[in-house]
Amino acid sequence: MMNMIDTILEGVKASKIAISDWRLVRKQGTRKEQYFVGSDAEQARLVQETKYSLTVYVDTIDGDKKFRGEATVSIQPTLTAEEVSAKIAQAAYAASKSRNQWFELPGPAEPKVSIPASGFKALPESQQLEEVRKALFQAVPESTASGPRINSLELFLTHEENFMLNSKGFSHRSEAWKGYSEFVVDSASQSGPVELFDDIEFSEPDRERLAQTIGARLAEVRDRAAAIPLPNLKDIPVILRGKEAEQVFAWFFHNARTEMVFSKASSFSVGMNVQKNGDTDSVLEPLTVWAEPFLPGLPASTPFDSDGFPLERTLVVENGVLKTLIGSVRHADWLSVPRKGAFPLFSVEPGTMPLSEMHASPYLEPVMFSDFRLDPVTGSFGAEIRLAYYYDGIKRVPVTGGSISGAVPVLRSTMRCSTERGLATMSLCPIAVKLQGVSITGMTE
Amino acid sequence: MPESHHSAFLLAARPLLKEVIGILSSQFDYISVLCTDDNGISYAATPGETRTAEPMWVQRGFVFRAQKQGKVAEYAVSNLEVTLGAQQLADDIAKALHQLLASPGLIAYPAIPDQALTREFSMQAAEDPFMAEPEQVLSRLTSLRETLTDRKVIVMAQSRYEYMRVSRMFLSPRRDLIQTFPWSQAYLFGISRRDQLSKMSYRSVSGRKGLELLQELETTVPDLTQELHDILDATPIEPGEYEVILDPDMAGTLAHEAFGHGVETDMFFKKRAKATEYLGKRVGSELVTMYDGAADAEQTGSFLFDDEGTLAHKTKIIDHGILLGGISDMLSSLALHIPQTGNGRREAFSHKAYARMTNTYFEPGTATLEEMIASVKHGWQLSRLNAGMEDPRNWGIQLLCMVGREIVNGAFTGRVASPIVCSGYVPDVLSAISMVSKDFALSGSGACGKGKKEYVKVSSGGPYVKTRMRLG
Repeated sequence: MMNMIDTILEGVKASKIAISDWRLVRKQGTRKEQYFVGSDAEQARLVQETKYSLTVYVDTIDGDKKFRGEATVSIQPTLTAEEVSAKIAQAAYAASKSRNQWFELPGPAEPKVSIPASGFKALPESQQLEEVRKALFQAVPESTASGPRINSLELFLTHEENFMLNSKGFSHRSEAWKGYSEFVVDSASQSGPVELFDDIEFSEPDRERLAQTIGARLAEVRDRAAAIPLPNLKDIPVILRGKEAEQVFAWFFHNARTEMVFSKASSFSVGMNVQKNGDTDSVLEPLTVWAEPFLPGLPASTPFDSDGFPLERTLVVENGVLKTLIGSVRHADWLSVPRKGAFPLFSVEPGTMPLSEMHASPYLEPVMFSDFRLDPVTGSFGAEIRLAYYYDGIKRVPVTGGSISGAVPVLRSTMRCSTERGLATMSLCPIAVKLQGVSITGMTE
Repeated sequence: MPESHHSAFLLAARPLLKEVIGILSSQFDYISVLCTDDNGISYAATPGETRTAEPMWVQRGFVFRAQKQGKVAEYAVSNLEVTLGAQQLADDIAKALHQLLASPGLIAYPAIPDQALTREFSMQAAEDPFMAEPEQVLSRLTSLRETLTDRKVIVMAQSRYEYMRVSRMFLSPRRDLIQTFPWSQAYLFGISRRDQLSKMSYRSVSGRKGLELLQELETTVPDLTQELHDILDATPIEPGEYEVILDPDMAGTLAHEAFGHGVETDMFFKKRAKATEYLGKRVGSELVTMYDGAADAEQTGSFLFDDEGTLAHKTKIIDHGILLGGISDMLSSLALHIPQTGNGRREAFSHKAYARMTNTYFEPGTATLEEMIASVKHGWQLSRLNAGMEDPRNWGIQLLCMVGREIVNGAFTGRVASPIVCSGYVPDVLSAISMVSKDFALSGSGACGKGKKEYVKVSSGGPYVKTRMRLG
C-alpha cells in the first residue's frame, strides 16, 4: 500500500500536463487543548491532523521568453488516489494558464542555523501542558473577593512534525512545539467588574515568561478598575509598549520584503534612509533591524523559508538605511537582488533611551487596546484604549476610553526606542517606543 | 426528489459512521460526529503575477463529541482508517474520548439533547468556479487591477476571488443532517501614493454565489478610483464627538461588535457579558431593532444547521431598544438553561465550537440617506470598514474605517479624512441612534474571530444609521 506522499508524487508524474517542478509540504500535528472557566475545565479536546500542501509549477515558452505558472492545492489524507490525481490535474491545468516570470526553485541545501530541540520534548507527555498551566496560574495573587483573577483561559500545545520536499532534491524534516494561550483577567471596581484580554505564543515551557505575561495583566486589570476617563490631551508623547511597539518596528521589516517592493506596495529601495521624511529631515534615533530565522521561545523559528531557501541572520536596516531586501526568492530574482529568503522573525537593536527616561516627563502610555491595528502598507495605526497611564509631570494615573491614531511614516524620524528589549510575537525588539505627534481623542469635550 | 449535490465523500462515509455512532452510543450518554468536506478555489492577480490556490477554509475531517456523567470531550481527526471496520474504529475513538473524559476538573453539564431529526439542504452556484476556465478568471482579475492602476497616483492594485463549497454532515443516534452550499467573495484593493505618503482602499463583494459575483466587483472600479484619489488629500480629523452616518457595512459592524459578541452566551457563562445585567432593559433608542440568524438571510453566514447539529434560527436580539436575549452554542445554553439558537460554530472540524454570530443586522427604518445627510449640522459619513472590536464586559467599542466625508449644515464639504478611529460606550452610541434608513444590505466579505483566532464566515449590515461617536 502506497503512503500519501508516494501517491501524490505518482500523480505528479502521471499528470497529462507536464509539471515542470513541484513542492510538497506535510504537516502532522497533535494538539492538546484546555479551556478553563475560572479553574474549572469547560471540556477536554484532542486534535490529530495531517495536512499536505502541493504546489505545482508549469513552464511555458513564448518566443525567447520562459514563463512559470503555479497552483497550490491541499491534499487531505482521506482523498483516494483518483481524487488526488484529479486535484493535481486541476492544479496543473490552472498553473498552465498563469504566465509569471520564470524563477528557479531552491535545491538541496544545508541549514545555516541550528534550532535546538524544545524543552517540551524533554518533558513526559503528561507534564507538557500541565507545566504551562501551572506557570500561568501561579501568577495569580492570593485570592481575594475583589480579584484580580483569571476569568477564563485557553491553552493549546501542538507537537508538529513537518516534512518539506521539492522536485529539485530539497528535503527537510523538522519538529516544532507551538504553544498558544489566550486569557481574560478581571477585577472588581466601583462600577462593576472590569477585564483585560491578552495572548501569548511560546515554544518553550518558560515558566518565567509565561508567568510574567499573565502577571503583568493581573496587575494592570487592578488599575483598569481604578481608571478615570482619558482626558483630552494635546502635544504629549505616546509610549507604545510590547506588541504595539513591535508593530511599529514591523512596518520597517515588512516594507523591506521583496514581494512588497516588487508589487510597489512598498516605496523602500536599498540605500534609502527609511526613517527620513524628506531630504532635510534628521533622524533622532536610527534603527538597526535584523531578519532572524530563530529567536529562542518563538514558535515561528525555522531554518528554511516556505520555498526551501536556507535562512541566515541578515542585516536589513542599519542606522536607518535599508541595506538589503529580504523576502521570497522569486521576487528577489524578479527584482534582480540577492536571494535572502522570507524570514518569519526579526530583531531590533536596543535603543538609547531607558524606559525610566521615557517616564521622566509627561506622556500617555497605553498598555492595552481594544484592537491595535497598524496597516503594513500605509503605516497608519489607531485603536481604542482599554488601559493607559497618563503622567502629567507630577502623578501617573490609569486612564481608559478614547483612542489614539497616527502614521509611522509621519512619526518615524522622531521616534525613540527603549534600551530594554523583550520578546514579542515575531521579534526581539525594544519594549517601548516613544512617539511625538500621535493624535489623542479623549473622553471629555 | 431534488438533485443532490452533496459531497460523495460524506455520502460514502455515512453508513460506516452511523455504525460507529451506533456502537459508541452504548458507551456514552451522548455521542455525535460532525464531518466536513469543504472544497474551494481561489484566484489572485497581483502586479506581475497570477496565482491559483485554495482558500484557508478548505478542510476535510471529523470531530466526535461525547458526554458522560455530564462531562464533555471532543476528539477531532483528519483521517479515519476505514479499512479497520466499524468496531475497531469505534474502539479507537472510544479510547481517546474516555481518556479525555478522565481529565481533572471537567464541568458537568445537563444532558445534551438528541431529538430525532433528518434534514438536508443542497444549493449550487449559478456559475461554478470549478467548471470555469482558469485563464478567463485570471484574465478578468488582471484586467480589474490593471484598470484601477494608473501608475501615477494609484501605484498598485490587486484583486482576488475566493469560492467555497461547504459540505457538512452531522450524525448522532437520532440525527442525520447534511448540507451543501456555496459562498464566494471577491476583493479589489488599491494603493495611491504621493511622495512617500500611501493610502489604501478597497471594494469587496460576497454572497451565496459563484463566479457571477465578479460582475458586481467590476462595477466598483470608477468609484474606487475616485476614492483613492480623494483620500490622498485627506486631512487629520480634529479629535472629538461628532454626528456620524454609518454606511450599512459600518452599521452592521456596529451591531456585530456592540451587541453581537456581547450576547454570545458563552460570554454569559464565563460572566464576561455586561449584557446579562440588561436583559429586558433599554440599551438603545426606539429605532434600534437588531437580529442575528443563519436562517432567513442570504449571505455568507447562512446555513441549515450549525456545527453542533442545531437548526439555524433567526434571533431578535434587540427590539425597539430593549435587549431580549442572546445567541447560544450548545454547552452554554445547557449550562444557563436558555434556548438553543443554532449559533454553535467551528472554524473547522479541528476547532472547538463557540457561540458565534451568523448574519447580524439592524432592521431598516423609514428615513432616506438624503434626509439623514440633510439633518447633520457637523459630522461625517463613514465608510470602508477596516476592522472592529468588541468589549463585552465593559462595553467599549472600536470601529476603524478607511474613509470619512465631512458634512456641514446638511451638505458634503468635500473634505475627506482617512483612516478614522471611531469609539464610544455602546449604550451611548445605540441610544444616540436618531435616524435609520430604508436601505438594507448585508456584507459578508470578512471573517469574525473569537479573541484573536477561531475565524468563521459571517455577514453584517442593514440600513444606514445616524448616531454620535468619538472620532480620532
